[in-house]
Amino acid sequence: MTKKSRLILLAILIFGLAFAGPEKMDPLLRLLSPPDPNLTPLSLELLGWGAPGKVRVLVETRDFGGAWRLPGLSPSWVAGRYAAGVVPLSALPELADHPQLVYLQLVRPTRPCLDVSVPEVGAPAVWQGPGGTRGGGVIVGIVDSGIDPFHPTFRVDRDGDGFEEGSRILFLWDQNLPADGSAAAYGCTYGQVFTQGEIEAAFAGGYFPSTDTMGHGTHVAGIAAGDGSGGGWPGVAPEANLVIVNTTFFQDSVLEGVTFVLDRAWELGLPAVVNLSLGTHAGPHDGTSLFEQALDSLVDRPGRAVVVAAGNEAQEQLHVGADVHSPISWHLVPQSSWVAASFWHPPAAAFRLQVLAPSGEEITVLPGQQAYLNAAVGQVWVDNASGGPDPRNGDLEIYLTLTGAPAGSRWRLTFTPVGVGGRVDGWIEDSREGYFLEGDAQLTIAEPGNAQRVITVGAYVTKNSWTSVVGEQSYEGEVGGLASFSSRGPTRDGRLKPELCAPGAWIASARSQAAQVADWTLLPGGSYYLLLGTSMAAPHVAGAGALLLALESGLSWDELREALTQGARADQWVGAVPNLSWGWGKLSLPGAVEALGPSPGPEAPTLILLGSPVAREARFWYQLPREVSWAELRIYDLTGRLLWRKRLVGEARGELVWPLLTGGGNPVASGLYLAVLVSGGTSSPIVRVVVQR
Amino acid sequence: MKFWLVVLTTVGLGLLAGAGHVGVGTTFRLGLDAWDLALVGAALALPQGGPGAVFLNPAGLAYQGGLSALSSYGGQFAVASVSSLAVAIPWLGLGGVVVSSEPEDGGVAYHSEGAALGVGVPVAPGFALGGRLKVLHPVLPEEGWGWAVDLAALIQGPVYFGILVEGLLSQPATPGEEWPVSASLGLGLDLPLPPPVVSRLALVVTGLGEDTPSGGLGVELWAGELGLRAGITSDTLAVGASLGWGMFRLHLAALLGPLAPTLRASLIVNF
Repeated sequence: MTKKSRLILLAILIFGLAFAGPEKMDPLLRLLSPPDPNLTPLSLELLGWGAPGKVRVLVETRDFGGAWRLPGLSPSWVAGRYAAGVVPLSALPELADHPQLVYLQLVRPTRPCLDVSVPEVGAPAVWQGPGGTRGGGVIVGIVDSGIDPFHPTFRVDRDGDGFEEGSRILFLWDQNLPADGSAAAYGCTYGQVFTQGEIEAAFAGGYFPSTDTMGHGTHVAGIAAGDGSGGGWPGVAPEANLVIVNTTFFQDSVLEGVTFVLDRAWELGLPAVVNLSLGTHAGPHDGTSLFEQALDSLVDRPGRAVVVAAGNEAQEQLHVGADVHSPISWHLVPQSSWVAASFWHPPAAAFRLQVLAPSGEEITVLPGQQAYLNAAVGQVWVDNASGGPDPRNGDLEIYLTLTGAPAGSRWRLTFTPVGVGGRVDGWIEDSREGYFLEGDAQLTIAEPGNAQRVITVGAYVTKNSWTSVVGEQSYEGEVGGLASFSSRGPTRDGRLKPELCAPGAWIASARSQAAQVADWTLLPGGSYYLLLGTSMAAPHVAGAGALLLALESGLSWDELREALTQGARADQWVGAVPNLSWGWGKLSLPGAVEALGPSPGPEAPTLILLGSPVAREARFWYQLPREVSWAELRIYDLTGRLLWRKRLVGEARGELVWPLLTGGGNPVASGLYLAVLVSGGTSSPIVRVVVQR
Repeated sequence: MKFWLVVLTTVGLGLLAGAGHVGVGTTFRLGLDAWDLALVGAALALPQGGPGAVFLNPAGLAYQGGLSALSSYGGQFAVASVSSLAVAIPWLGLGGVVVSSEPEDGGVAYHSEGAALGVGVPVAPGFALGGRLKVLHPVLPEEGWGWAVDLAALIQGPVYFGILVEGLLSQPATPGEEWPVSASLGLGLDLPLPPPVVSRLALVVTGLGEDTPSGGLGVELWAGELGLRAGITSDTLAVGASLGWGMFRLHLAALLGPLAPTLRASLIVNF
């Protein structure tokens, strides 16, 4: 092709993209209902996780609560501009055209990521030190495979009679049980919710309908907040309260689970840390997936934090990446009947993708096109950025999915720059589905670990031998070294992840009696066993977060992250920090407490608006500086006219309400207003209040 | 006579004033140029003609000579930007204002637009009446359209009087909200300073008829093409300066209030 013809082609493509309009659906949804009638549509049934004719989606809308006004969508969860729900496939075109919609993303399943470790991170020093704490007064939320509530490590003997009649689990939402109406009282549309009283009542009968057959959630909860009773070892925050969600592991359910935990904590007036030992590699890996943006939006006030496992994919060869300025080939090797991969590149670049099947058939997909290949050994669908730049991050996504290919077959993917080249990064969505022959360990942080406001945790080895019920066991990996599986950063947009590492191999914690456990991991006594993974590292940090919040309940997510990372320690294994494997080093609770300082409280009042826009009232969370006993909330219009004021006396922190009235009792009009909290000669930063009726 | 006419009109219209939704017309109040902003809005009775009259007091358009254009831009308490454009010819003025606030943390954006068509007619020596049609177009977070009709008067004498009654007829942009009738009354006075200094004092009470009336006092000095001014309300101090050069006049204003500083610059071109 001559230079001139390339330029003409590029001009045509750019022209075509400019007039294609910003498609607001992710490529997998576009392949389910392709605009080209000649293209064989992809079938969700192939995935095995879609109801016929309907899809579960995550939604970003232009306005807060906009999901309620979207045609065809039945929302199950709405939090500000983010929502989850179900939509018929036939309604997708109308939904995508609606001006309220910013982006529509098909819900993907996530999966769980997996004595010595608790002393290793210095937790006992915080339990026993001056002003020590064991996590009392803080909620630890575990959104995972459930919990064994009968396990003694989650029970408590309140009356000292030697029988643990109490439970430390305040609420348990089992999303997998059939709805019985108990969840509706908590704003949940499915599953069953159990209160602490109901759990304790079950102790007498010996039966509880919600179980943890996987065992993962019980193990994770034990690391974060088990008290060690029953012949084991205490977790990091052994007196924290627990709110448990037995999740379906689909992204929408996970978000609803996090919301459930934070809502219960808010109602109780307690700070909360939520642990997510789960992840997926579907997404742009830059923090802009709707799963991650929605999670960020939930961490919107002090006393809230979310801790996420980095992922266990450092050795799974699921990532490829290169600066592509001349043709480059990568080889996709399926391991299951379905494999999906997505490739991201900046909008200034464009690539022609050639897919060569092992049976010799080949398709070439130009930028802006969709294509389908029915080869002798499998079927391929490709979407080469047919929707133009993704509205979430402005980049272009090339999506490929392969079905029916024999395990181990090699599919060559050749990327040829059309005009300007650029950086391309690609991931296989689930490492169990396949791998790249050329895959590397970089940029393997699983979603939602790339989110802006979560604390992402890698794993290192603290134990490589133990005595199980069937004898001595040993495992590769040097004690103190990074776990070989621990996913590496950075994010695709260049941010440092993971933030830090914690013990993740091998970790002894609580065993669910409903779970099948390999004998070689089971410890004498049968109540505890060992697992490994960043799933086990994350709850160490979640427990640490709970201890820090017990010391200073008004910490924001970034203050908590700052304390944890600045307090982290580096040794000969870690090397210079920060780095892309360890982040800032190994979790050190004494270091984090020291980094936290003497907790002087804020120097100026803190004022945070809870939800926006507002229609009936504006609710604020506030905190006053130490030794200040009064404050005044003032509301101004945009010209600077003082409309309303309310004097506060007493409580150093709490909630405030502006009823959207002037001082004379007249309602204010829809518009932009400004709120400040004035106290002791200082004032909070201006808070924007958008009133929209 | 004129004085009493103004007072009676104010009282009469004040009786009409009702309890609507406070702040419906805020977008238009933000359209004021840097000259009036430095006088904390007190220049209601100081007719200068000029395109800014379409936002301040449309009766002032009666004193407009020739074609003038105004462009203003500024930050409002560091949370919003305000930009306005206006043109005026004798008796007529047309202006537009855009208020926009895009939060850095990804919160709800706010965007509102307004346009005003003003008329000012001299009905007797030193006495002008004016009117204005305002069209309000909130864009974010919800789109809507609304309008209102205002009336204004200016009396020039040893003492200047200005009156503005807003929302006499109206259609709110948001269903269910009412655009309240409110009145503003301004006074102005030339101060006896030796030439070449010209000085004026201005006083205003705004929001009559609403439950949050406010007052302001401003003073300005002109020496040739250089002007200085300051204004004060119960909780705001404003300062400003002007510089003229041929057909151009630049006004700058800074508002130091209980919130973050507000800065505005306005350029007027008299063709």
